Amino acid sequence: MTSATTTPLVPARAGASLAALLALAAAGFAGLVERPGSVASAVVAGLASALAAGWLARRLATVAVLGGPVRAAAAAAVALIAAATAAVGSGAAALSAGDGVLAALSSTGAALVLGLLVTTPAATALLVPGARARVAGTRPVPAARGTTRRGFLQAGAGSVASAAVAGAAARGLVPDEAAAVARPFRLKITEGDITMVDGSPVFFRGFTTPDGTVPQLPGPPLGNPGPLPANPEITEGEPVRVHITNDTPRDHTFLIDRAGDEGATDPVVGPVRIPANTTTPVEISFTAPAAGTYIYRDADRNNRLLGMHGVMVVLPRAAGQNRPYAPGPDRLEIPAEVVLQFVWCVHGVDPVLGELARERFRDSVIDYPLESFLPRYFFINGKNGTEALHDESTVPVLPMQDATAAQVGCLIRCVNTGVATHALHWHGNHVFVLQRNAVPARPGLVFEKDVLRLDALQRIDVLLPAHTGLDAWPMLTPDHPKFADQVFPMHCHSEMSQTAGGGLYPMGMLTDWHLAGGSVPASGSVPVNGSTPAVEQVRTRLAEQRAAIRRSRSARGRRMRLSVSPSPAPARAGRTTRFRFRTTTVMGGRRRAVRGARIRFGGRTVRTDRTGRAAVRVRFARAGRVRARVTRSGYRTLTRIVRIGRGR
Amino acid sequence: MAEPFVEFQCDLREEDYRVVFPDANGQTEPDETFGFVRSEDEWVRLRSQLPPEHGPEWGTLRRFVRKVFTSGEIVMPDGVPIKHWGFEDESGVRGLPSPTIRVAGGDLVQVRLEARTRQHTIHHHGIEPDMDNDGVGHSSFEVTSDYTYQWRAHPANAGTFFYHCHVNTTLHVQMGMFGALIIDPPGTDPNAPPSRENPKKPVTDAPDEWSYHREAIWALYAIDPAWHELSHAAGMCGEDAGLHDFQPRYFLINGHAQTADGSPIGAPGVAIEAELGETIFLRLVNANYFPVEVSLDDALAPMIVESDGRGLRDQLDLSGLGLRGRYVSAPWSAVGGRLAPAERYGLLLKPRSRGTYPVEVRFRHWITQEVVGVARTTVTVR
Repeated sequence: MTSATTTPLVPARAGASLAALLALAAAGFAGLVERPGSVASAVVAGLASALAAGWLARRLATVAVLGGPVRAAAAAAVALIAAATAAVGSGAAALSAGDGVLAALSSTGAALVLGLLVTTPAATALLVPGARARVAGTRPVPAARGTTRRGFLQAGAGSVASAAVAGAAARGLVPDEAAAVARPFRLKITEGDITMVDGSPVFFRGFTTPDGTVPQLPGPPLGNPGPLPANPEITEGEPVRVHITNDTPRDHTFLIDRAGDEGATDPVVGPVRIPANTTTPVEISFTAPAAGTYIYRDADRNNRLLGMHGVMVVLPRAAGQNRPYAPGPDRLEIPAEVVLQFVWCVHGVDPVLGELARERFRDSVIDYPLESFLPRYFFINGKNGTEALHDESTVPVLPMQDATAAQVGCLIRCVNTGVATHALHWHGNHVFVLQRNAVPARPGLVFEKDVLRLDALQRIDVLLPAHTGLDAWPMLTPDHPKFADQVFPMHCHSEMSQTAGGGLYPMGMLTDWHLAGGSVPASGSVPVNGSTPAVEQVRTRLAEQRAAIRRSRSARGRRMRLSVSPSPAPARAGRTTRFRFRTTTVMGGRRRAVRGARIRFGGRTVRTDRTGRAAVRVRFARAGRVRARVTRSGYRTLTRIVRIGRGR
Repeated sequence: MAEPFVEFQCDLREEDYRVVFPDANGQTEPDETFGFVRSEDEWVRLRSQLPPEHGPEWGTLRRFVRKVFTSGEIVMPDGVPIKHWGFEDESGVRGLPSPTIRVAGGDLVQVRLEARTRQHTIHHHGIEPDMDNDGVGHSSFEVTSDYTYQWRAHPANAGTFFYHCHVNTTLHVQMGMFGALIIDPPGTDPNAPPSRENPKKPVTDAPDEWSYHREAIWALYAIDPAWHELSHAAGMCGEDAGLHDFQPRYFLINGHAQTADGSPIGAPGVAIEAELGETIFLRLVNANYFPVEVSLDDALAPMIVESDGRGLRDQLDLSGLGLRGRYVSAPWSAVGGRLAPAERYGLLLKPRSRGTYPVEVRFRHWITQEVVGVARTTVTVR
């Protein structure tokens, strides 16, 4: 989730200066702690971070009005952290998950607490009806390899598939070799920072794999959540074992509930207490409930919001490949087999709650009322709107085919682990609601929707038929120039969720689905995982884009700034204007010129001189948005948008 | 309106994030668009070659123009002026919401967007076109001058849709860049209002008892005044524009705000009047970002017959062509009387007795689910 930082210009609403001042003061303090004798640079960094923490404005303004101690403490903590981040010097962008002073601070704290605490005897784990919890023996459980009923992604994206398998194996969730005794799913409770798309580090509590260091969002799946083959499946009525360790200095709980309510109203498991600092796993055994989609979570709402959640997928016994439930007399009949299935876990993140958790690392439960919760980052499967567009376990790529065929579309298990009402909107096709909270739809009333209301803790399984788009004209036939790949978004229409850090549309709760043209075998039978040649072409391209993003992310470079001055100003369409550019960078706390940078603007390319300056004379015929692009080796490429006003 | 020179410092790397989407500049010549139909004759010839399930007998070519304006202003009941944007139609009509687009099933629809100077699109929400006509920047392009969106309303499906700009959507829809999009069943004149003499039907091949004589389209909308001071690309370069925090203060039905005294909105198009024995079709569009609860009197017997442009059915019809199962209706309470953002419901009201029935639209916070505001109106049955 590491990504580039942004430098905001103007805090959006009133109260900004207060925030800036507080953050600046905090930055100065952090700078002193971090680099004695370098107060000046700390203050510069602090100013930057004060701007970066511009969103604090509103929170601090609220604090100033309400004077609530919780908010004040949390906001100050966020300011401090933002400042500290900047003071580290390399900038938030370089700060990957778990790196830097933040992680160091928190791990120091954790170590301190570890020393202070007496390890709780694990035998205190609670026994609850329907679930057996005990501490497992110290004998390590061997990891095994195997296959799943659903099969593997086929050749064509072979590298993708093998990478996925390797990745899943590394996550420690591999299928059984012998199904006689179910191998346990292994989870670890941990905490740590994850960097958001705008460069802000956010503190999470969450689940991860035994060898993981930072929380996974959502936690490692129980059962097989999607098209990737590596996870063991859970079938209804079969025994399930989960082993949980706890790296944190506080107790947590583990709950799987059938209902979609806060608290345990109809539990499958728990809440089971997972004692602090448990290195020998607590074993939880239960019988897999009815087929459907479930959430496992800490029973406490704020811990769930902090990241302590994951998805459990239970498959039906004796049903087709990807059906959500077995056929039955009082169940809606699904008149086709389903090609693929996915889980879309949607979540909203409030960094202030994260800072409270960082500060109160010993508290199992954090007091943070629902009214205070203000999500600022939004995910599908832990990914923002840029990452999710290329994610193989999120993006359905489906062969374009007749929806009256024997196999159609994909099952999407929509899961809301947050607290907000989301409104999932599919472009390109409507979806059919098949199952809610693991209860199959009854025959007699079918909703075909393009917007799905998904309230907190709801799990709604829908069928995306992936037909050709009924209203397309030109029709989606092989004559269509874009027949090979039609891309349609799916996003939440509670539009606040489309943002990250208060802006950056559409880097929130958004992904795509693809309709790949090309021939489907005449028998009407679609290969396993829908792997037609056309589908594999699209999947390969997505994998390449993923790799390219990863490469560009890992490329380090100094950051440039570009100023543009049109003359005469303002720039207007239809008038020849001289645009003067200046490129600078901050080095040793001072702003310096960048010479030799290449600027592309208005179809011309110029290089900056030793003072970092260059100029272009150009006339734009139309008003609008024009891009200036600056490149130089050793620096990050920068794109500036220049507005051209309407001519008079 | 001349735009001042605005500076944006985009530190984001475009190749990573594609914040700046491709533009479609000056697609003024229809033949630049693949499959663009130039005349009614051409359209009739093309559709008559379709297979029977796609309704070769239905549809005419209907053209619309939607020009972007950003100079709108609407005064709230407390005297506060609110800036808004929107789409102006071919006859110069502006409004909040923007003028309705209404067609019949089978029609070929061409909506010419004139964005003028800045990036906009039109997404016909709930329509299933090809991706170039879907109006989404990251999967196709944004429009800086003009582009004509083309799609065909498939004759199998009629109902309630809407259209909106899909550029910096969080802001642009809130600024008012949306309007209703209604598809009547094939063979219906979309421009003729329903009446006792000429009843209309909500969905294609609907049973006769679903015929309606009165109709209302309610856009349920709320305004956060702070957002209405923001600029076109607010937040797009990484600055915190506060777009994650929606704090509506005014609550509206079709651009008519609820007054502080709580009296019902009586504006035409909002307050419904009917005679006993008439059936009313109420189309609800949630155009704000919070879930909304619409409280309707039991005496109105509200029944859902359509949602998101699809009739309710008793079986799964994966084809979407009405090949399987039959239509059913469900009481409004079946969905808790609530709409998520961008959801649409079509409700048949069959009042059982005369009277004036209050209607309350409750806007609920998306997290706390507390009522943050209401808009009231009435249904009067004579």
